[in-house]
Formats: sequence, C-alpha cells, structure tokens
Amino acid sequence: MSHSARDWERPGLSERKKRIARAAIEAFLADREPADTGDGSGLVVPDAAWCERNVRSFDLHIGACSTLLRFALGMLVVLLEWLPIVIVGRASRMSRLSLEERIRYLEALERHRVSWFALLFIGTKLPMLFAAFEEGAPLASTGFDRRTTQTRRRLVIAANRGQNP
Amino acid sequence: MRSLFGGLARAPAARIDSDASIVHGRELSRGFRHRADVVVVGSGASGMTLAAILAEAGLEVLVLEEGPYYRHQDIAQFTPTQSLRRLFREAGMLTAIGVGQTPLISLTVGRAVGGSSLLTGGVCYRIPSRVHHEWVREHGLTELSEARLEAAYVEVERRIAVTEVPVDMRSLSTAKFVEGAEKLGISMKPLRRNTGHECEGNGRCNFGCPIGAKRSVDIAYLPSLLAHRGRVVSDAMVDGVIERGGRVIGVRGQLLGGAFGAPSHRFEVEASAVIVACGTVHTPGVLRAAGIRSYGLGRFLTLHPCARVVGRFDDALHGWDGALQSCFADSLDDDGTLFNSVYTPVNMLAASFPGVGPELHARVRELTHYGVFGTMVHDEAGGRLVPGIGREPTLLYEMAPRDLARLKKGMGVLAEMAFAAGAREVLLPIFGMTPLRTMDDTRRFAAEPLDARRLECLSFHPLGSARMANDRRRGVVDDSGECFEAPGLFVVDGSVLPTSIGVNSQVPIMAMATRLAWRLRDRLV
Ligand SMILES: Cc1cc2nc3c(=O)[nH]c(=O)nc-3n(C[C@H](O)[C@H](O)[C@H](O)COP(=O)(O)OP(=O)(O)OC[C@H]3O[C@@H](n4cnc5c(N)ncnc54)[C@H](O)[C@@H]3O)c2cc1C
Repeated sequence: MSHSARDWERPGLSERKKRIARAAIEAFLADREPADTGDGSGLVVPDAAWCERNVRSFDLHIGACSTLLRFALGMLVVLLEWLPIVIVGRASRMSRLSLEERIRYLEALERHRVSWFALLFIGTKLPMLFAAFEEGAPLASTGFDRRTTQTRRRLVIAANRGQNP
Repeated sequence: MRSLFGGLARAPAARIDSDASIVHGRELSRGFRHRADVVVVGSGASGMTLAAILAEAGLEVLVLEEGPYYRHQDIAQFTPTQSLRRLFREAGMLTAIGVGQTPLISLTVGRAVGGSSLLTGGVCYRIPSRVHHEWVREHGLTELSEARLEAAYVEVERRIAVTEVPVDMRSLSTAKFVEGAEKLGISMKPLRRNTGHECEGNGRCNFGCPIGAKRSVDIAYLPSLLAHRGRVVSDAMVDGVIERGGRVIGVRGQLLGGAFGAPSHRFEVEASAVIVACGTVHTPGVLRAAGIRSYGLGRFLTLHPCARVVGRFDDALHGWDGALQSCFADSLDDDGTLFNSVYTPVNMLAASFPGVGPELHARVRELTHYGVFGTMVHDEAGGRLVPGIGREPTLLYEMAPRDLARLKKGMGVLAEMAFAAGAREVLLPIFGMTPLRTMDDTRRFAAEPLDARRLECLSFHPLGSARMANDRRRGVVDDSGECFEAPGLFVVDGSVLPTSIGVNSQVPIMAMATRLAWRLRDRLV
C-alpha cells in the first residue's frame, strides 16, 4: 500500500481560523512591483492559489499536532486577529486591514519590545510559511537549482570524493 | 496493571492479525495479545539497535513503535513539510518552556519507525574523554568508562559506516565560515558521519536522504532484525506495564492513527525482558505509569541548546550543495561550546528570514548568497518533564546563566567568522533584531545584555531524564539499565545518560544500547 493511502492527514483549523490565516499569509507573501517607490502603492497581492496552498499546509500542520498544541496554535491565530488595537492602535481585526496596514502591523509585531508579541509573530509565521517556498516558481525564486527539494544534486565533484588533501 | 491514561479499554484477546514482519498498527482491525522473549518499546536509535542485537542472538523480539512506518524510499520522496508532519513529533513544533531568563526552545524529536535516527544530520561523535572520566570519578559509574564502551563504539561505527567527511564535500556555505574561522585563528576539523562513501551532498539529511546514504537504524539495523526473529508493530503506543509478583512482565497500549473517528484498539505484550526506549522526552511517562517514583525521574534533563547564525555574502553559495554537516571546531578555551557546520533546507531558511512581504521577498531572492553555521552548548541539567494535559509531557527548562553566556558568545564568534570572510550582513537568531552589518555591530552585540526570551533556540539532543546511577537514591536505573524500583524493566535510550555530553548524541546512545544489549543477551540466551 502506498504511504499516501495510510496517512489520513487531518485538518486542524476551523473555517474562521483559516480566513485569519489566509489574511496573514497574504501579507507575509505580498511583494512590491519592481519599479515601486516604496510608498505602498505598488504592493502586489500574492497569487490566490499560492496563498491557498499555504493555508492548506498550515491547516494540515496543525492537524498533525496533539490536542493541546492544536489548541495553543489556534489561540495564537485568534490573537493575531485581535491585536492590531494593541500593536498599531487600529481598532480593527487584522483580516479587515488593508494589505499595506496588515504588513505594517505584522512588522510591528515582529519588532515589538515585548518579547511575547515577537514570539506570537514567529510562532505563527513559521508554520504558515513552511510550504511557501517549497515547490514550483516560489522554490525557483530562491535560486534553488534543482527541480524539487527531493531532486538529487547534479554531481560535479564525484571524481574527487573520498580523498582528503 | 498500570496505565498512563487509566484503564478504560477492554483487554484484547486475539493474536496479531497479520503475518507481516512490519505490521502497520493503524491497519489492524482489532487489538492483540502477544508473547515474545523481549519486547522493546520505541524503535529509535537505541531501541532498534538493541532489538537487532537480541534478535541476532536468536531471541524473539517484538518492537512497538508509536509512530508510523515508512520505507526510506518513500521518505526520500517527501517534501520537507510532509516529513515534518509524518516523521517529527508534534509536526516539528514540540517546545520546551523557558523558565526565567530562558528562551522557548524548539525541540525536535522523531516519531516513526527509526525514531530521531531518521532525522539526524549524520554527525557522529564519541563521548569526550573528560565526560567519561566525570561519570567514573564523580558518579562512580565504572561501567561507563571509555575503555568499557570501546568495543560497543567500534561495533556501532562499523554497522552505521562512520567515515570522515572529505573536504571536497563541504558546501560553499561551510567554506565561507571556515575561511572566516581561519582568519580568526580557529581551526576547523572534518566531522565524521554515518554515510559511508555514499553521500552525494544533497543537503537534506534531516528530511530524508534521496539516496538512502545515511545509515539510520531503519537501514543499518532493521533489515537484520527482520531477517532474524524480530517484528515491528508501528502506530502502537505503550501506555502502561503489566506486573506479576513484583516484576514487570509486559506492556500494554493502544493502536493509533486509524482513519479519523475510527475506534482504536488495545494490545498487550508479555516478555521475559521489557525494554523502554521511548527517548528522553517520553520514557519518564512510561516509567511513571509503571509506578516508578525514583529520585531524578523526569529531572536533570539537558538539551544541548543550539543557535544558527546566517550570513549574506557577495558570492552565490548554493549552500544546499554539499554534505549538510561537514566540519566542526570543538571549543573556545575548552568552555563547552561546539561549532558544527550545517545548512537549513531552502524553504525553511526562506520562512525563517526576518521581515514581512517585500522585505522577506528581497532576502528570499538573495537566498543563494546566504551561508549558515551552528553553535551548541554543553549545558547544565536545567530541564524537567512534568505530566502534561493529554499525550505530550510538559517540558520546563531553566537555562543556567553560564550557558546563556556561552550561547551568546558562540553566536558572536560565528558572526565574527562571517564578517572575517566578507559577509555583508549577519542575521542572529534573535526575534526582531536588526541584522548586524559590521564587525563593530558584533562587538556591540557582545557588550549589550541579551533578552533570552527573544532568542530562537533549538535542541536536537535531549538527554538524562531517567539517569543511570550506582545507587538507587541518586538515579532511576542501575548500570545495566534496569530500573531500581521495577525489576524486569530496562531503559536504554538517551534518558539514561547521567549528564549532558556536549556532542551530538546518536552514537553515544547507540553504543550504550549495544553494551546493554550484550549484557542482556548474556542473561537471556
Ligand atoms: C533533527 C535532528 C537531527 C539530529 N542530528 C543528529 C546528528 O547529526 N548526530 C547525532 O549524533 N545525533 C543527532 N540527533 C540526535 C539523535 O537522533 C538522538 O540523540 C537519538 O536518535 C536518540 O535516540 P533514542 O533512542 O533515545 O530516541 P529516539 O531515536 O527519539 O526514539 C524514540 C522512539 O520511541 C517512540 N516512542 C515514544 N514513546 C513511545 C510509546 N509510549 N510507545 C511506543 N513508542 C514510543 C518514538 O516515537 C520514537 O520513535 C538529531 C536529532 C534530531 C531530531
């Protein structure tokens, strides 16, 4: 039996939390037009399918954890949604902020002098982005020169192996 | 009968409903009751090693593993995130909670047939002589002298094909840090790894070698276990022991991982020897379920806290081409800091770059220019495992001020190495910190106090939660691994190490397990 048939991967997020995750992932992965001056107007919303793949991966990741960790990570997602008022003084949920405001909010969270906020940032950003640069064009954008992360290296030094100078 | 989660389930009556030598517990439609000569709980570095040796001696050995089983050819096809979800406990997000001036520590351990051995970078060290001396002189454990373990080391290193990593297998990422180290007068030596001469330098050892070059226990020991009288049941979590007449004579547990919502089934296995090899984090739970309350159970946990430093250079390094780990510097003034070369898979490196949106992308586009190196601390015993809510225990860790200072010093030295080799910026693993741009920034970092809670700290070698002692008042198991409080119950994994060792732990744990297996073989055969 192939391994995929045995896996029974299970989701870990409610629809509401998935919506929050989608909004955060969109901000994490937004980019700027090449000619943008930096005033925010040239922000490019990341491809919806790419964001969706990351939401799905985050969902399955949480689903693979124990009940307690699932609960804790779910709480972090909820906090991410409600903290703009504390971090940037905006009385709005994170998912309702404009893309530019969301980026500013997340940046402020990352650099916040209260370490718990910085931890909240990293605790959600990492699992949300684990899969972001893992396949296809995003993987290629890292400069990774193999077709997939599973592809073997092109060996150019095989002839010299096994010898130390 | 004692059990970790109470005794609600009914005792099973049937035999194992499969003739396969590796039984996928999640596919069984009913529980089982089984009798073997030896039952081993946990199939990681220690459990699999011991199980194979005893099976080779003619004993019938049953290995019970909580995690799933995948062939190494399947693992080689997993993306890194699939590996995280399928092979790592808590999908790679297990965390030790920092107490006081201590960071949260991200702790990785394996949960699959092969345990953490599947996930190693392949680095192989022996326990340093000074640690052996300490165990003999200060702990009175003469059985753990270097000389007594010599034959076991040799046997393990032969079976897992330990060889020195040739210089030309170093990645350019590593070469940059080596260049910087040389300029600072720090000499780097080649590492030894369990990859024989097969390693191609694919740079993804932690998520499964594409060619099976790394001799993890599923490759080095499992085939022999199965060729003799050994069997493995995966997805089988032990949660209690069976006692008779004051002796532990078996274990009981639950089959996991069936289709969502499907009923789970119970099993019981009786044997002449019961071996616990659940790893440092999970062995105390099984021992507690056996009623053991020995001094030190779940205490004296050490983690070898690590940090990774990332530098951006002018040259494109393609740091993923080359042996994942290839050289090391053992310590500065012998202060217990180790520097190991390492690389992080591209998608993980990209995700961990600081910044959001455009700032993140700017770094990702430059990713080929980034090099990575690691530092690790030989820590004092600051950890504790307490029963958690549900399956996983809670890990509390208080970092000794001396260890925090060493970790900070280690990061500073790595930053200096990077700048000495021409780095344009250095990213320290500190949340929200502005990247260092010059050697002066590094000196300022060294001079300023560090808020430990902002540190991104990692651990791969938890050790010592059920430590070995020569006296029942000082530890949990004796020098043959048998529990002082539970005759018939043996522990062989990383939990029995009396102290932290300051080097990567796989070979030391396997050598100890080999020695214990030889002693058991002499008793049982
Ligand atoms: C990412 C990573 C990289 C590493 N790199 C290196 C390296 O390069 N060099 C090195 O020397 N060391 C390395 N290590 C450390 C090394 O892998 C471990 O020290 C070693 O594998 C520990 O062996 P163990 O037998 O104590 O536990 P493990 O190998 O962790 O095995 C324990 C097994 O028991 C199972 N188990 C737990 N509870 C139960 C239960 N109740 N019932 C049934 N089964 C149970 C677990 O699922 C697991 O499979 C690395 C570890 C990790 C995670």
